[in-house]
Amino acid sequence: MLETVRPRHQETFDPGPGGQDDLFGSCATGGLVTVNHGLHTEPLPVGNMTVAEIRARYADRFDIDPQSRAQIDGHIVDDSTVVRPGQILMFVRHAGEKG
Amino acid sequence: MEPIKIEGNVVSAVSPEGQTASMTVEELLETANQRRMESRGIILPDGVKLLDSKGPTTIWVHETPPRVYSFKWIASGSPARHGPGTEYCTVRIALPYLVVLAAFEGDMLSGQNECFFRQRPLETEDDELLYPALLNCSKFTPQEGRPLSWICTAKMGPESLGPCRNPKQRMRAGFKALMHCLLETGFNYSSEDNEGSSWFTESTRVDPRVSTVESWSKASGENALFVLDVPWLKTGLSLRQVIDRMYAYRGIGGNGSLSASDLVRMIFNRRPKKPK
Repeated sequence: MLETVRPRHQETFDPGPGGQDDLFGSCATGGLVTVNHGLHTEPLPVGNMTVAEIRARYADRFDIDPQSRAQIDGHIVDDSTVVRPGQILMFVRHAGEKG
Repeated sequence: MEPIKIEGNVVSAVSPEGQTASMTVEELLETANQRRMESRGIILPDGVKLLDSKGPTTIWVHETPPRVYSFKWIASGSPARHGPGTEYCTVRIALPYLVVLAAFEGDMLSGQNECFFRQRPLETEDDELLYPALLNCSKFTPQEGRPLSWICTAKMGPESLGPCRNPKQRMRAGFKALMHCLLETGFNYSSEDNEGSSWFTESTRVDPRVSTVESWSKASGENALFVLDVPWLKTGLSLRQVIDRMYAYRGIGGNGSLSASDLVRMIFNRRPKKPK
């Protein structure tokens, strides 16, 4: 009798509807990036997008200051930088001083 | 309106069916003053873990998880310690859980807001707060009657709140301005010169990795989570105790709720409305 081997990739876990892991599971942009500006912090499915694309897409929703500079994991980056899943992208506007 | 009568110290009400129920004024006030959970229609910013109100003051307790920040920090060799002539550089340092207590008078941000560290997320009011090793988080001497870790907002004028006529947006705008002031404006030595010291200066001996901002930055680059193991200076006070302390130095005594004598005073002080 001829037997066929089921490909491994068909056996990988694929959470169904209602599973928390599935919230962004089908999103073509890949994993989540934590995006922060001021009071707003959200994990978003923007992995592999550039800073400029994320800035444009979430400008209103996150009230992103056009003067702000982007930081990834605390490093200042320019708007052409590609943000990877798992990274923290912060928009920061250094201005003024205390005292 | 259903009939309510107060005779002596007894409040009684009559239902539409004619049944009567009564309680003492104190019992009525205790029932009416019970703590209630609500945000008065305000959509709270992400990270607000607790709201606490007493009298006219409301305190928001906000927590930011550990992360690496890029701060505008006074440069070594800056010709001035703060104010005009101060030179800044950018430093990249990790912080542990950052807890901010924002005090509002009505819906306006007050000038008495405080900042602390923690090594674990807040779970109860009994969790202890740690002093934040940050410049411009002021240490007063003596501490009695003053904030424990005052966020220096001396240069944060009303204009920083922006145009905000909606009272519900005003609290969010005030909080946003406070967080901008804390995290995005330049850190300098104004606390050392004006209030006595900052908790950065006070904390330089707790761990060699945070003894200077340069060593802190280096350690952050090697392992950003080291900040969860640093023995930050202890306040010896829980979140609840710090909140109660804030009410006390703001002059809000008691439990902030109405008493029977408050009711009597309100009745006697009531001014009749002018006829239209």
